[in-house]
Amino acid sequence: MTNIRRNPGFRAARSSPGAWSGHALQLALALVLTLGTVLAVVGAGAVAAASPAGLGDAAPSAVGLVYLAVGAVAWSRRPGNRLGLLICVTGTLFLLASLYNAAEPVMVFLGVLGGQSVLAGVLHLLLAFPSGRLTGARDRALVVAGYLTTTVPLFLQYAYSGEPVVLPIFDQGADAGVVAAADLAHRVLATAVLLISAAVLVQRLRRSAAVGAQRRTRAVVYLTGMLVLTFIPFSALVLEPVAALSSQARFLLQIGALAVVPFVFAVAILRGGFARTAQLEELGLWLGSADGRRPVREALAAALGDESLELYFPSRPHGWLLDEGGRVVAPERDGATVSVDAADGAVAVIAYDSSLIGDPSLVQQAGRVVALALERERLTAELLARRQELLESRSRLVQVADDERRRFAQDLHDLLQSRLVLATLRAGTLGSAPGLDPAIRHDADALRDDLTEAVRELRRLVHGVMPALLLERGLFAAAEDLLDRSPIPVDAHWCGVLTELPAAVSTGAYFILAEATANAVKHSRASAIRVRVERADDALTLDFADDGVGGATPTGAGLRGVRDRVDVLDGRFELLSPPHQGTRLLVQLPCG
Amino acid sequence: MRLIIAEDETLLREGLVLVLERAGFEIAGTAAAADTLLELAERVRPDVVVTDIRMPPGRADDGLTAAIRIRRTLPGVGVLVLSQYVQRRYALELIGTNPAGVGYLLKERIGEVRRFVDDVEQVGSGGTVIDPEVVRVMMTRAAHKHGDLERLTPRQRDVLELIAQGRTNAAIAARLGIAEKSVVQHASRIYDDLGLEVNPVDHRRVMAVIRYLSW
Repeated sequence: MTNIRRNPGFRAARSSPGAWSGHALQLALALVLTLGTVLAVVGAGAVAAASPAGLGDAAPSAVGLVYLAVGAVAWSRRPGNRLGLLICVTGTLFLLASLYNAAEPVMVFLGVLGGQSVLAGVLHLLLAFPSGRLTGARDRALVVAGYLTTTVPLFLQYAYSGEPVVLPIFDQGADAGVVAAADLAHRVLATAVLLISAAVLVQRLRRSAAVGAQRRTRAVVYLTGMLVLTFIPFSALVLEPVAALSSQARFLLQIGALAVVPFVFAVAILRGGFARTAQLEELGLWLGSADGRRPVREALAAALGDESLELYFPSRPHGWLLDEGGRVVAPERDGATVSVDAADGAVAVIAYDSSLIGDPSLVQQAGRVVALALERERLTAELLARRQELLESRSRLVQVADDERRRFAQDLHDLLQSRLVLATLRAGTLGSAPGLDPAIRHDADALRDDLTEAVRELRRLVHGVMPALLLERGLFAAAEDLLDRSPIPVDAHWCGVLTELPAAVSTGAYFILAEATANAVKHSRASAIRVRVERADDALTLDFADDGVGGATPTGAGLRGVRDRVDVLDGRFELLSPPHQGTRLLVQLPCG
Repeated sequence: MRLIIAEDETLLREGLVLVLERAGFEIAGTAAAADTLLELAERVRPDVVVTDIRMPPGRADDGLTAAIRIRRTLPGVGVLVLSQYVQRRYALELIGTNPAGVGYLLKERIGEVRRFVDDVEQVGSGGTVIDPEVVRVMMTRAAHKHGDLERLTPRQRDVLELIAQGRTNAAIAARLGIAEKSVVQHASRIYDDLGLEVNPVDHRRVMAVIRYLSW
């Protein structure tokens, strides 16, 4: 309760878990407040009409508005808790009570009914504390009995009073006996309900498993409630005659006592020991609701009342902290964090604003309630992180493989090929020497031809590993050369600037075209290939189509290589290959 | 004939020098890098420059770039490029619009010493030499691009290939074991079929054929 000053103001209604969705809650709140205002205006009109108007006449309206305001705040802060709603309902009864001052009999009747039900409303609040829901038949019976005891005898008195009534059916003629009996019944029954309720509450307090702040809060709420409830009849029956109070003063005292009630309840569920229970209830509702897809962060932020709350998930293999998307992050805030732990390690770290939430154990407990949901989130984050890691490492592997290809091609070229060419030259020189034995000349020429063949084999090998043209002239020249060599005629179209592509994209695109061509040559039995390579601002599109037998699958060895290359470049891959209708491969590589 | 030889591999360079000296050429200088080649060619003005493609300082296609530059700035100097790559594109870049005194050969051709020596002489005397492998790539490409080549007989295609390689009618006749007269007949049929202009000057007809194949 002492925390209330530190609260930086109640927050506006936010989307609620469980029974009330955000829209429904806002609608309900708007409705309650509108109804309250209308009633207050009507009541004010009634007060103004009555003469002489006194402070006491306006009091019920004022208290009713206070109930409505406090109830609305509590309701919007704890949408899963019904106490806020109940406070609003009780406030409405107060506003109804203010109609007592009106001139019309029907208004007066409603006013009296409202005024009497207020006490039943407070009893209802007490029995429904802290969740706002009545549990068990006994509680329900007590509350119903409360409402009936305050209204039925009153109705009887009214019907048998002999005074003019609202509706003819209420007119039972004057009967002083019934009126007296009703009055007695009212007193006896009300006292009985009050006593039983008191006993129930005392028992509940005793049996309550709660300790510490919760137990204290519960005791304070119960005591205040019971005191107020007993004070009302006490003030009328004892205080007024004994202390010789004016009825006006008595009325003001009663109203004043009742005005305390909503604050006690609201503070108890928002800031007191029960704040925790209420929070957990919110989270429990969130867990159980169909709305479970709402991020756990939002549910926690709403329950704890800290919109800036952040979640971090420890990645088990490294101990790094991940965000929901699996990115490695460093929590910015210094200090205000709480770790939620499970048996096999930390599940999440909750970073919160310690100026909003003073007690870390509050956060801890909330985190424990949703620990399973947090664990699910943590696993998702870890999976995402691993996927990213895999993508990166795959991309690194391809990069390394390409570098390796380049180096390998260069080494073959620089070391082996020039050696072989030199040997060819030597063999040729030997064979062309004058006056050579024809047999030796023949052997020398054969050796030269073998070496020449070796040079050509090596050239084909080097070309397959990494064509020099790709490195020296870029994608267009290399791809054109590649397609020129295809045994199946290729109709190629080139659009856009194909120079100045990132090296990874141009290498990737070249090998994708090479794979696609090799596949077509090997499997498609196509008679023509159509290739379109288009460079737009931010993407390179490869459209490769043959008129062959189709039926290619993306899992085939060649196409798997294509897919790997596309994945690594974060591109898109589409394969259309219906049987007997050719194969079309569409690839888009980002190159911004 | 005075030659410059540019090759960064020492042994290979010395081998080339030896072979060509033996064949009666005068070696006016050697270079192991593209930039020294340029400077040397400028100074010596040889009849033919024989150069490797892959050379320092860039270790990429520096030799080719130098060769193209020499052809542009020193019109009287023949250029024979020895390449590791069967690259139609490189050959076309080298020839440009003037096929006189230019050659593009795969490196291993230097093993066929006699033919290589002939090729150097042909380039030195303003002829054209294009490696058969490169011409084959051009033929395949042209066949895919337009069906005209399908109309030629195999013999006519052989003749066309040899013309594209820069061979003279006499050389083609010797190569195919037919009379020079039949080569001329084949050639005129080819020109008719492909719609090419008849041009008696050797390097001009090479240009026409290459243009046709690269179209």
